[in-house]
Amino acid sequence: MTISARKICLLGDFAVGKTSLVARFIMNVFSDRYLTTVGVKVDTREVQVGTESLKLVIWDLAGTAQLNGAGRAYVQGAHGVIYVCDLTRRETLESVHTLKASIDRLIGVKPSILLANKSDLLDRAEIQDADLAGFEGYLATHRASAKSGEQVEQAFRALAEAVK
Amino acid sequence: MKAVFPAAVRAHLDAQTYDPERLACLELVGAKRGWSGMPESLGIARDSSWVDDLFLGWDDAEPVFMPLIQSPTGVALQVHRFRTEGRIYVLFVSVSEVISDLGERQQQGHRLALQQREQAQALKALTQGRQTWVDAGAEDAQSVITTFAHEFGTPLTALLGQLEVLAGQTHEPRQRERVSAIRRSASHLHALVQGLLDEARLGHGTLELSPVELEVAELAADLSAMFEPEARRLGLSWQLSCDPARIQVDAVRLRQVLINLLSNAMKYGRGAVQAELRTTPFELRAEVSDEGAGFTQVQRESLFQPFRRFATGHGDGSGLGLFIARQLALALGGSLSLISGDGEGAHFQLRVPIKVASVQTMPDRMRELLVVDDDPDVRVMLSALLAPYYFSVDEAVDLESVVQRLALRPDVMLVDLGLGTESGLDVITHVRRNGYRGRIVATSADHSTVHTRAAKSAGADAFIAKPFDTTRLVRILHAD
Repeated sequence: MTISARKICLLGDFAVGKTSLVARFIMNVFSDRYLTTVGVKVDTREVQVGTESLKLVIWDLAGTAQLNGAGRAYVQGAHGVIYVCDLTRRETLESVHTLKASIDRLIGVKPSILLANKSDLLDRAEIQDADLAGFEGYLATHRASAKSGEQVEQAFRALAEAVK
Repeated sequence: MKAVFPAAVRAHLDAQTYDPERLACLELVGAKRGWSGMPESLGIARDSSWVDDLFLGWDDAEPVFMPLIQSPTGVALQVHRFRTEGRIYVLFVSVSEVISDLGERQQQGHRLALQQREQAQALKALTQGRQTWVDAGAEDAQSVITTFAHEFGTPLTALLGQLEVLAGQTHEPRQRERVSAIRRSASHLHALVQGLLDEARLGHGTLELSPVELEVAELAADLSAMFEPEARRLGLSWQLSCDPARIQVDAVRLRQVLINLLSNAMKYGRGAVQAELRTTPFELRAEVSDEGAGFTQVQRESLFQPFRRFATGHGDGSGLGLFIARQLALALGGSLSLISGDGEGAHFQLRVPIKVASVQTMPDRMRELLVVDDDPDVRVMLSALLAPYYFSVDEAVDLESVVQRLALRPDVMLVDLGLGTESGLDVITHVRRNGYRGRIVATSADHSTVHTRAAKSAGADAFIAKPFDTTRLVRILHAD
């Protein structure tokens, strides 16, 4: 039986934790060591959506505040997008806003989730719930932590449900 | 065994400069698929669905170029997909060697950006803390310091003048030594008083900025005139370079910070003292470095605090210099940071917002720039150099990659005329014939007018010679 596959892109500024979120979702692991992503990494995981299996092909793009030429090529054909910001760096939320506007123009409005990562560092948070609520156009907004795993599975599953 | 690739692939590769040893090719005909080359050496299993996953969401007929993608085992690859005679070919090219240091540089850049952000946050907290202190009633203390500094400063200035005269009139060695000792102590007291006065002004917020137009090259010349003779006397190599720009800034305060940094470099440095004054449309970035012992982690933590002097064997500082310099940098709306680590010499970076008086008005939006050059170092250098000047930089290495990127509609193309296997003139001619109406700037290390004329005949709007003068390059790329 052929399993349906859907392409999901992760976008956000550098060092917001995109690769860590993917590692948590795919392998349920976390490392504190920061390793920058060069270009793009593609991973897959099957999830159960209702009674059906769905393969999520996850594109983890190198961090950027603005979509560049290579990024435009990588997001082609995406079925859904996860935008990631870092709760401890306010400017990364602005980057998400810029990136989403570019993506919406380029490939049309796709089901999207906003993940505010590093919720385990709440004492250093520069982004509050009210700031996240101000953004429109997302299926959901989650405060998440690749380190603790908080809301990571839920976010990916919510998007899988929307793109199935 | 040497890999044999299908004829269509060889034809495709004829226009490339890739090494066949670092290639693998997947040929798709209907449901059939066959590999040539060694995909395993690139980290791709022959029966892996990873390849199919890559093209999910793409139309089969569409040519695809992915400039940098990591294979399942982390090999950096370029991926080309093209269709010919009913067959689809997917080429995987290892570019690990080409981009081996790109990741490292990117990582260092990110770390530095995060570190600078943390420093800025810490400073902000410090400034806010001091403001609270002032608000709580410490303004009186600042007033006392101001009065104290003024009262001490005037007689000290007179004392130093008299000591200067006395030194010129004293010839007996032991007496000269005593006068010199008194002068050193008086100079130290004077520096301390001036530092306190500056600090009091900064603390009161009464430091008034007076922006004036300043030629960066003149500032650099002044600093060289001030420091180069002393560097020569101390046996230090001296190097100061700058961008040619006319800027608006409080020249007195900027000069004060730079003099402080250069004085320290002269005092504590060994070997060479280097300084660079670089400008973007928005800021002046000054880098001052020496080859001295640098600072330990403990020293780094308190480097910018007042009255911190380290056991360096140079005892004539007030301990206020760097503290005042950073306060002045903040007052100018900028920042002052130490970049280098323990044992690496000291490397300070000063960033000050400016207005550039002599560069043309910058556009109100980012411009897409396509750099066409077969030298990866040049492409990386240009990306870094032009990013602050409103350019989103994309790269191409030859005609084929240019054609693929034209769909992204770059505003400007910077085309190297010598692309190895083909001529940049061919690229320019081709894109013009195919309707590209954006700006094209040709470039070459060969400055002869033949190149300039040929480039313009082919359709280039302008020509700029290598190596690049940043200000001129930005002006030419932005010109309409």
